[in-house]
Amino acid sequence: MAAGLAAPLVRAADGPPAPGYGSVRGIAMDVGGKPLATVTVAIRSADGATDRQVLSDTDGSFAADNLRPGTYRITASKEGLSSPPATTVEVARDQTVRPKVVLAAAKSTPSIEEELAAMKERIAALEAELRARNTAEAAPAPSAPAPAPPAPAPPSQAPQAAAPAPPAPAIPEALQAPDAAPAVDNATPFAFGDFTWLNGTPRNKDTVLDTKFFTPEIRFDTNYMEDFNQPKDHTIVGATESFRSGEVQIEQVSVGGDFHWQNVRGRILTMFGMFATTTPRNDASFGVGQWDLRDAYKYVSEAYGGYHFNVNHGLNVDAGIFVSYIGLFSYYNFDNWTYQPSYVSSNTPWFFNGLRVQWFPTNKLKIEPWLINGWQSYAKYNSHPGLGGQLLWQPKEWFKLVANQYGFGQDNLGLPHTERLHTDDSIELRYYNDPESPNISKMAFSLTADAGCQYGGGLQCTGAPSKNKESFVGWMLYDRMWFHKNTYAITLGGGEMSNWGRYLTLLPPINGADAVTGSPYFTELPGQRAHMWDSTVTFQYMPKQYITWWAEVGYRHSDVPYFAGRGGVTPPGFSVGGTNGAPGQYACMSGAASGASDLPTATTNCASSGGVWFPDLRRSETKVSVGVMVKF
Amino acid sequence: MRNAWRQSGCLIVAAVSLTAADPAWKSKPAAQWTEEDVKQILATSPWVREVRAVVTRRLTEEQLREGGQMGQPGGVGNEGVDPKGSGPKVSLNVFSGPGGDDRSPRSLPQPITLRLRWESALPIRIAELKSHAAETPLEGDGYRIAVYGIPGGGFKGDPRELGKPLKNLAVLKRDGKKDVRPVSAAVFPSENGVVVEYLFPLSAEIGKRDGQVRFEAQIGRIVVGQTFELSEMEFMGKLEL
Repeated sequence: MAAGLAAPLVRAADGPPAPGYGSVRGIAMDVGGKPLATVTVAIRSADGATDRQVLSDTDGSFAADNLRPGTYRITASKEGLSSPPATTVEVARDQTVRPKVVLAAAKSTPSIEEELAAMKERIAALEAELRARNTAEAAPAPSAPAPAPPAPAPPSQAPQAAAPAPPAPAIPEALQAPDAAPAVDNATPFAFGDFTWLNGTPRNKDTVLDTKFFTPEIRFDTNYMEDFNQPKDHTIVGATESFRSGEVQIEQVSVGGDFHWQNVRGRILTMFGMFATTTPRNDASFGVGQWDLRDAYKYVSEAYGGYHFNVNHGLNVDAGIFVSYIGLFSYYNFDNWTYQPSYVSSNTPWFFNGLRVQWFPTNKLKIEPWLINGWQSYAKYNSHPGLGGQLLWQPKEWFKLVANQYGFGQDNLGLPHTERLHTDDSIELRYYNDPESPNISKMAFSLTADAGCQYGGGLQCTGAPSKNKESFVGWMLYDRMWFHKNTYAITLGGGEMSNWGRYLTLLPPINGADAVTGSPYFTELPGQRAHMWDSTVTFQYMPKQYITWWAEVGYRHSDVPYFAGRGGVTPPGFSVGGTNGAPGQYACMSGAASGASDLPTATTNCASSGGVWFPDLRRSETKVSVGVMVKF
Repeated sequence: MRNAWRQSGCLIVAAVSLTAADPAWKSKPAAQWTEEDVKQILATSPWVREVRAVVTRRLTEEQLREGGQMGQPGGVGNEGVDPKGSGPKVSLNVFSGPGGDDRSPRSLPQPITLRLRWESALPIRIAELKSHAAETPLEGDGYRIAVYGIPGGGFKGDPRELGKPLKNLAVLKRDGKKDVRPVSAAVFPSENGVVVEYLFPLSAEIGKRDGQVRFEAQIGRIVVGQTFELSEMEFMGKLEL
């Protein structure tokens, strides 16, 4: 074998042996015991299932790992050396066999003439093979006598086999006009199309920095909002994206990224800014037991680790905190068409804590079951975990269907026998695309519909409100137009929700109330109604893929007093902290806690303090916002 | 008389031209192939094609994660396929920019030229033998097709182990017949990059009646496809694959 042939072969060990497999680590040497480099060593199992070829290293060593236990024949060859007889070894489980392969020197190095003669012999053999094949192919014709195998053409004769062949161009046709190859990756899920237009998906076309082990991610989100109700405590209520009025606020600062090595993976994204307070306060599960989970997780937006299996188009098993795409929009505003999404998105979960499996049976379909602690909860409220899952189907670049389902969870503090059901289903459709147009370059819409309810423990999904009805129905529709090569975009849209029992209605932070404390000023009792709708117009300027400047006008309406009015939702006298520490009670006009969560008692208790204080809640809210978002 | 001379002259020129145009694999027995003939066979014969393939766009981390993966994929066809300097540029000017056109060259599909060769075809095997070309590590009978010119290098390991992930991403297609998948694949280095060779089973029984056979493969981010005219792939009057 020529030295050049050695290059394709393995020089070193394959890697550490896997459990249950064995290894061969031998040495190739000459008869004098001198190690021989670049010896081609073939290791073949007796059943023929395994056939490895490795090259010996400069010290004569060769290795093959991850061999199934069994009998193997080892042969070796090297130019100028005679091949020894095959060596048979037994490879046992988790054991290493160390054979010695001795090659004797050949009688003499073959001369050029001998090599040429050998080559001619090989060519003659190949031509004979061809003749034999020709003969075999001609033989089945019963009426025609089998032609005699053509004699090898003398050097001066014209080739007889060339006669029947049609004249061929000097340059084959395919060279003149190569095929156009398909330009898409059909192996990686959803890589066949550019889905950066989707609502809830970042539009970045590049990752600024990625290494083999870590890919960082950084997000900044700063806004200025002006609530036309002019709340004197600067507090905006009823959303998970809008929190303060008349101020510049950092909504989100996140630093983190993906860790990946071979198939092991992990992701962390921290969460500083308003999100660190405003998201955990909507989780009442923190009120179960000890260890202050809200404090433990408040700076963590995503944190999970897992493993990627090479099954079908991929199978992942991850555990930790994940972002949720119930409600279509991304938790991260940079990814969305609007800044303030409608209730169906804003009021449904942004994260899950638990176990997630992602299975990609094709490159266009994802099936993602969850086993989670509950509905946007750090902890499990009662005895049941939450079960759910997502089905994502993107058959074309211009279409997306996502369906999220949830059930079994008992997601109410103090209601151990009440279970929740929810379905959240969306489509997104890009109906126009001319990315190079200086005018309209793209148009698309998203439509989401949700429905759900709670039942058990005295609650029911249907029936009269007086029968403790707990249900949710909602929808939202957004239409977006991109302009000037996707540099600008305008999104118009809105939605509506009807939530009996108010179990998905965000509690206004009156006197610092949160999901655990509740508030006597806005109760969330069975059969209580919350019917709301909203609409927004959003303008985004996207000069670069990493930055978005935006402005938005929004109007929200509720059929019950809900939004902060001029008087705000903070009791007087508490300039620091904005709460008297007892949000579950009525507050007095002095700001002090009344000591009661029922109004008659509170009225009595507050008689000497100027009476009971009430927040200024309105039925509507108009808001203008501007901001900048950065994502690397 | 003048016309007769002119006609005779044209005939001679045509005959010479035809003779000159006849490629070696049609006009000479293999034993007479010169070094030039061998080069021609290995470069421009019907069993060889220079193919304009595509390096698909480099996905962002979000796109990879949405597809269930994390980190840029490694291995053959993924590493070393992006030219230097094709990455993104970030400027401090955040008030103006190219908008939707703000993207790096590597975020778009890039062309790449590869060479496909039917290694199992007899004329190719003879020519390789005459040119002292390295034998490929795939063994066994079958239709062997090699893809030459894949960028990158330094891939260590058993060639067949390296080829395993690629095996399911290649196919031979014919009109009206089931697609044929390779039974094995191997990856090995060559002077001009990496070579991936596929072994398709003889049970596919590709014949002249098939007219055309199309080879398609995805090698990491490289996607290649080429149709071969079977009528051209004859050697000594017989289809050779």
